[in-house]
Amino acid sequence: MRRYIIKRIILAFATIFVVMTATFFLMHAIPGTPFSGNNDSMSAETLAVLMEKYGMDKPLYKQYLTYVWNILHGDFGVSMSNGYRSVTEIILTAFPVSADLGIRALIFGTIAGILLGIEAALHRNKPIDHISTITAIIGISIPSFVLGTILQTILGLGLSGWVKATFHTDYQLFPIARWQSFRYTIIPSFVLGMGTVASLARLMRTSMLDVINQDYIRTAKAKGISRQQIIWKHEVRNAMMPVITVLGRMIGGVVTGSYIIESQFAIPGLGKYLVNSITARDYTMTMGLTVFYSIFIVFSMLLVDLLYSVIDPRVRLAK
Amino acid sequence: MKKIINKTFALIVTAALSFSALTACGTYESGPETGNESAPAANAVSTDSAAPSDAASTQAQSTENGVKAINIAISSDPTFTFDAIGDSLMVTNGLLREGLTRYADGKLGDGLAESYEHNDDYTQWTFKLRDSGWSNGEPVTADDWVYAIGAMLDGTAQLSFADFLYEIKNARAIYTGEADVSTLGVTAVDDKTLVFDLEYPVTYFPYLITHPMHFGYDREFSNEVGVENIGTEAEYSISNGPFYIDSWEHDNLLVFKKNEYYWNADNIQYDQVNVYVIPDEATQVNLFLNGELDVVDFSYQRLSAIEGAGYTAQTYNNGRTAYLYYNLTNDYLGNKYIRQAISAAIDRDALVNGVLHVGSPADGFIPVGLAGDGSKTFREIVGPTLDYSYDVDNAKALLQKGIDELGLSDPKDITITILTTNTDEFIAVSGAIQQLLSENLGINVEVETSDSSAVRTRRNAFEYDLYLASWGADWDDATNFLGGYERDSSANPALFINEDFNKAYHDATYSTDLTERVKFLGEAEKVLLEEEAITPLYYTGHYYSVSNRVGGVLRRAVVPYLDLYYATVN
Repeated sequence: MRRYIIKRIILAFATIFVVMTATFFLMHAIPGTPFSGNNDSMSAETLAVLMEKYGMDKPLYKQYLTYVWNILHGDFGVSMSNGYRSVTEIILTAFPVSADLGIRALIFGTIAGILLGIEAALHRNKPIDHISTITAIIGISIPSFVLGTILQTILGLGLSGWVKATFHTDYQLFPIARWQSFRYTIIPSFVLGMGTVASLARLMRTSMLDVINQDYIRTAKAKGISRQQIIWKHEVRNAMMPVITVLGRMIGGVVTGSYIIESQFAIPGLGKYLVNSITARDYTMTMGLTVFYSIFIVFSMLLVDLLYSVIDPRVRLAK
Repeated sequence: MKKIINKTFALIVTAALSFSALTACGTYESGPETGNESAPAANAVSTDSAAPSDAASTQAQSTENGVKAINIAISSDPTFTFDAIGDSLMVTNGLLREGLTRYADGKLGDGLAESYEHNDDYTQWTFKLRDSGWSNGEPVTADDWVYAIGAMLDGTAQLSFADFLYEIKNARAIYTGEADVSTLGVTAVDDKTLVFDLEYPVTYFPYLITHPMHFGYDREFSNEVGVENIGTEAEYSISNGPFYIDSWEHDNLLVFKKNEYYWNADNIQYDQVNVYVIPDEATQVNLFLNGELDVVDFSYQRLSAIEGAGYTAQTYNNGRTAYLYYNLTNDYLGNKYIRQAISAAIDRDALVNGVLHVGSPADGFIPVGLAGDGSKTFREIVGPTLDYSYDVDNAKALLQKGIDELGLSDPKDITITILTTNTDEFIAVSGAIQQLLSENLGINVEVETSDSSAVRTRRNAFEYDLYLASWGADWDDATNFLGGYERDSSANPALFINEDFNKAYHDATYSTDLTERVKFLGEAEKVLLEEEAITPLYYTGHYYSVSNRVGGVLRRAVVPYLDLYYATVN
């Protein structure tokens, strides 16, 4: 077990290193410089002075070595497209907000998805099953920005406006945007969690149906165990295994921020930084985020693998 | 099995606990006193029947505790770098740091200079400074300019665009490392007297220095916090303008409060500006309709929502001209007739009225609203430079001439690609141009879009045929638009070099009669357009709306596009 973990950790660092190296050279292969995007009239002379100042006139391999050296010393550099703020500081400020939103969405999505899946499986081909199917189709096929726009307009502007007018109050029931208190988190968490609801509901339903037909369920029924006990102790518990596997992979995706939802609801998270930094050719920001994300995702997957063996003793870790 | 249940249960509990912990940490209640969370105090008083009910209810919030605040939104976290360039320019310039002069209702107004004078040939300008202060209480002195401009040019401070400073003596030599910063043509004679020595005559210098790159900075504060930190956090920022940054939550909210040391503080009619960072335009509009913002910019598709809610939609001209420019080394586009055919085959009215629904068709390169001789604007003095009427027959005739000259047989032999940035505006306009050119001229037109960085790199490497872009003014003078065509510059990637143009431009530079100077510039513009080196399409415009509780909001053709200096809060 210990050897396995050590091996996995070494492998994790190797993965991060490969991701970092690939990103570095891919980023520099895209045409443009950090200085070319925002200034249409920059002369070649000015550009040359700036490239020299920031060491970008050197051969690429030298820039790479400098970058690796700096990273090993914990220096991710400054972000040129964000007012020359430190990359580390940007990540430390914005990531907790994204993680907050992501965890809310994940908790809503997991609970709602699993319950919906269970109900659908237990009432197969009944109305609740159809509702579950429809929810899943909506959750998967309606893009989050459409759902976000609809809810923002109907609940944030319409319903809340009606409440304010009717009760002569300033109380904003569902705020339109921004990230201030619990009320502000409801719509964005719901919208972000819908995808999770959809995929988990389908997965849980399939998994439950699979378990329901197992021999040991028939045995349990024959033993005269109550229906509730069979459902919760035998069916749900066993059906959860594939869901937990999927969940592990989802955490990385949801927690690291959503470009669309964070923009739409003006949430000061990390989601937009990756997209914007690539557009701006902000090498340091892109690299910092890539390294951060790969550390986060590689280690969260390692954690899930370890937990998996803890939850299901039948899973044996490689020697 | 029981063990497993316990473990699963423990996992869920841990997750639930971390959720509740996050709920507690996740509340950011440190907003401004006037924020949305404030208690519903005296909102029943809002009886302004003319105002939409939502906007009226905000009145109570914003004047609560007697604080008069204006709420505005910007689309991304601002940058307040030392050179003051970046998206912060659009809105916050003019509120935070102030130059020696500033705009006032389209003309030059009072800035930190009490008075100024120039020598006979406009190569030396002397400014007398007012008694004013930085927001940390330090006095504004002539040394602020000597320090700031020197620090940018010698590489101490960040400078993304040195060319703007090259009119100052030795600026270019210092920037490229050929001269020492002590030779810079900016001198503090005493605390209140500042002298600029210039490389060549600059008659429009008082206009040029409204651009924030010519602003000063306090040497002591800069050294204290470290020049690389300037403007990255509220505590690393000071202002010499009417407001300063009191707090700054990145990507969320900036609160500007009044700088009590500012010379004209008594005439600023409100106390606070809340600048929200709202990336999405639809969200900005919804917040505006809900009374949470006082000014909003929006595109045509949201016009009905704004007007439907009872607000007045207004438009302003932001001093930009959208235009096509040609790769003159291209086999077809090197031919002047073909370029003229393209210009005549584009229906500019259709672009403005059918595609964009805002702006106006171009009748020159210099946009309407840009300054001329101080009393009249450039376009008022020069008039239209070319007739840009839509004439398909003429276009076809011109194309035929070009085809004959090139020895081609059929318009179908010509294939050109329009390269442009992937903004909504340019995607729509390039599509319309593609249609107009292929229908009217019968040539093959393709469109390629990418992000601005990639597009500009390709353009500078001559990997384009036709390039659709827009050019805006950084300072209020036509040299902004024409200066690039005098030489081989990146504003002139097509390498248009023309003796007549250069002569007119040179005459303008050395002319000391302001009206005559504008006429020379008009001649230069006419040469540029007659040669069809570029093809102006339209002057861009924007929709905006202002809430009923705020007055005196000005929109400008140059930065700051949103000017709140003269605003009032009812």
